[in-house]
Amino acid sequence: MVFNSLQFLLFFLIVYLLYLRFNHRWQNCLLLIASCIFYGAWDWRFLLLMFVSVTTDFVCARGVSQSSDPKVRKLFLGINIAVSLGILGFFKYFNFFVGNLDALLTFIGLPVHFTVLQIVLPVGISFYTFQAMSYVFDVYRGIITPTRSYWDYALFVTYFPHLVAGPIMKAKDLLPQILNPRKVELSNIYRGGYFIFLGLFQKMLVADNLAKIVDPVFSSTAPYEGSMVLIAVYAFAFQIYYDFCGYSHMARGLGQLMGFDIIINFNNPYFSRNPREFWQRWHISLSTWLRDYVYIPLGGNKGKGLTVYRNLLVTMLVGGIWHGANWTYVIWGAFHGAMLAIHRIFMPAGAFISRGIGSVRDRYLQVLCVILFFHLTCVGWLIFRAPTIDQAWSMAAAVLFNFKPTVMKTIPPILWIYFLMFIPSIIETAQRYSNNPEIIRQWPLAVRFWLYAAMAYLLIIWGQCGSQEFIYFQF
Amino acid sequence: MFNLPLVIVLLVFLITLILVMIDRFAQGYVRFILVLLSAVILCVSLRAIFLDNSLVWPAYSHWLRSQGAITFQQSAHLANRKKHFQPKGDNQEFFALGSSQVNALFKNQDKVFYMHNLGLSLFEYPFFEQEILARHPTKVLLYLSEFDLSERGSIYLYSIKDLPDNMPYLFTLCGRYIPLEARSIHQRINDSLMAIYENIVPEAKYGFIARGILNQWIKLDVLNYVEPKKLEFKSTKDFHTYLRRFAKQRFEERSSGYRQINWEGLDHFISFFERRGTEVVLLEGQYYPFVMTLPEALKANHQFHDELTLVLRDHHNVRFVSRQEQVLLGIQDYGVWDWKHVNKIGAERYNDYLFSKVLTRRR
Repeated sequence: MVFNSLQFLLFFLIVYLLYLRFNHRWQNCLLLIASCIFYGAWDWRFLLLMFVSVTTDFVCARGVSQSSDPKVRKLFLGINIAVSLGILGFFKYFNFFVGNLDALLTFIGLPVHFTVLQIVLPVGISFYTFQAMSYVFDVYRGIITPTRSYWDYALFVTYFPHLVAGPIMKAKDLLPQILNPRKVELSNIYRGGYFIFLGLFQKMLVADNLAKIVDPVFSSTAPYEGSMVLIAVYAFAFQIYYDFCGYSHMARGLGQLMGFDIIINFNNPYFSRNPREFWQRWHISLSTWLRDYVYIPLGGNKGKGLTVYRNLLVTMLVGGIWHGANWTYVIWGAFHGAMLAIHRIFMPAGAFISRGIGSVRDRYLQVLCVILFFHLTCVGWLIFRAPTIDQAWSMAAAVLFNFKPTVMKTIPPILWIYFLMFIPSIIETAQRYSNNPEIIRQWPLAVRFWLYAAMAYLLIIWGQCGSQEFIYFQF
Repeated sequence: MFNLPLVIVLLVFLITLILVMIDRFAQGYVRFILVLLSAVILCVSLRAIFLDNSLVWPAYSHWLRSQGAITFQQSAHLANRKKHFQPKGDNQEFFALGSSQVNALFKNQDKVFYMHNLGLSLFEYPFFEQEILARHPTKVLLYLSEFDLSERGSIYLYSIKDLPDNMPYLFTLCGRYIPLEARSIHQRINDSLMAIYENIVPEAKYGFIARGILNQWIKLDVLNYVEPKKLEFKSTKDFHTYLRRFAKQRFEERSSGYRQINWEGLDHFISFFERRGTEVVLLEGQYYPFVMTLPEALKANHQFHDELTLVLRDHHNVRFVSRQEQVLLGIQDYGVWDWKHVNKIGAERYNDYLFSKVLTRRR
């Protein structure tokens, strides 16, 4: 059941009508049941797995908080990390690990053939595991006190709007909203409706239609010409953004309708001038998680010499491997880690140049940086989207050495991308320059009306209803 | 004279003016209701402009005339919509309904008013009952054979409003057809909801027109543009080998579920016209002679006759004209490498026979 399907619409309408009738306690009960149905619609067996994770985290958090002995506290924390990462590691990385170990041993002359298991990856496992782990970490650090109610905690992890693809909410942000009564006012409904509509537009119109340009090129075994690869990479840059951002907007909108405030996960990332800014704007909940639970514990900015660069690299490698068991993700993570490190090295020089050239020229420089960094991001997306390293390399080689642009082949997809991106680019620009993600809601009524009407009409005519899952479901 | 751009500009101007006034003077619920009203006016106007008038459908058919931009089925549906808006005053005596074979037979004459769709199945016939009734024909011609029983059909292009008196049929059909098409329960729920959605929002159903027009201009294969391919064979022998394989597939692999809903559809259709005193002439369809003699086809034809006899047993308004009573079409009457559709010569021969021997004769 995906947000962009009529089945989900029916499901949510039933849940929402009941939700509005119930009091706080029953609302939580209803949401927990609804979340189980929502998740169980993919595969009910993985519900059990999710509850194993939930129960372990709940018990470990209680154990951590009830003990004053540091060793016991550490023991509970260790159990929690071992179980959570054990489940994640088995379902997500087992075959990758075994396959690579096999290859390594063969390489050094010790051929051992391990059995590769047919493991189905549970939907959203990376998201709910990280969310649950952050709860125990925060209890351990004394940032929050653990909840006494198992069911409320279970709802914190399984709450369906953000269960399968985030945002990864911290307990201090979401748990109080579960524990305390929520108000659903007319303003919530307006805001929620706005975010859901925007998310549906981004997903069903933009991302799913861009997928039709991207998929054939990346899934082809025969090499494409460089010009088509380049178009597919640009298209993928926007596809993955609008796919994930659309999901996050819908999650936020659904939360708003029920009186929850789910955090913003994207903040116009393609307007970033450098990698640091990019990671403050892209998948904010994951980058915040990595910063708080990986980067800072490693030493953060405080280390001497090369330590900071090592921390950046390790953090981004974790971020890369979090996306999936494939060397492409590892390299993508390393690529971003390297960009962050290089940016850190040249940051003082950049600031010096900015001061020296005056404000007008600096503005041009900023625009240049945005364009340049967008293209660097696209290099990352090529690695990220390619099924294998070899294919990523051959596609990059096609762009560099076999470009061959042909009008008949390249112009139609470019026009199509422009057509799809027209309204989103207006919205993004307005959001960026007002620094307000809801700026559209403040526009004059007539302008908003025509914008919404155009979006709705395009969505109805060109939208792909429920035909494609969200990209981040596989992570 | 209907000037589409001018109408749209006026509409936009009018609604914008209303919205500016609302923005300035209305507050709270009044504002909300007025905005909602504007949205309703816009929706109704757009639907009237782009879907519910007689001028746009010929335009769509004209723009989308080349193959590849939309599917054959969508193209046939456009042609039917175009015909739907043709004046009903000058009633035609004969109304034919069927698959693309009917199109091939009647496209070059004006005595028979017809509607068709690619691979039209018998269970789809009831969706045309209102359309046929509105034209008051004295005879309804159906051109069908075992060939039509092996079509999959599709109910997704039709509207619920095509069946105003027949909701029970719709529920029966959906209850039986959707499970045949969609295997999982999720798929069934989604398909049912999709059918409801596309009936409430026909713009979604006709989204293929906008996609097709864009395809027409820039041939965008990401929008399902398919470069039309014609079947080519080196010799008649090759063609026959292909037909042998294809016939086996065609006549033997269709489930009994489809046959059952097909016969029920035909029964419903005949009963409808029986109650209204309209004669249904059931012409047994023909196809390429070589295929008709294949064992699979002969077996399917026997079964077709047996099952049809059961359906026609209780009806008194049907005249069945078997192949033996008809002019038999030969190889020269079919298109090149086409085993289903007659060519111009074949159509003329068949029509001459039809009007001289069948449609003039009283029952």
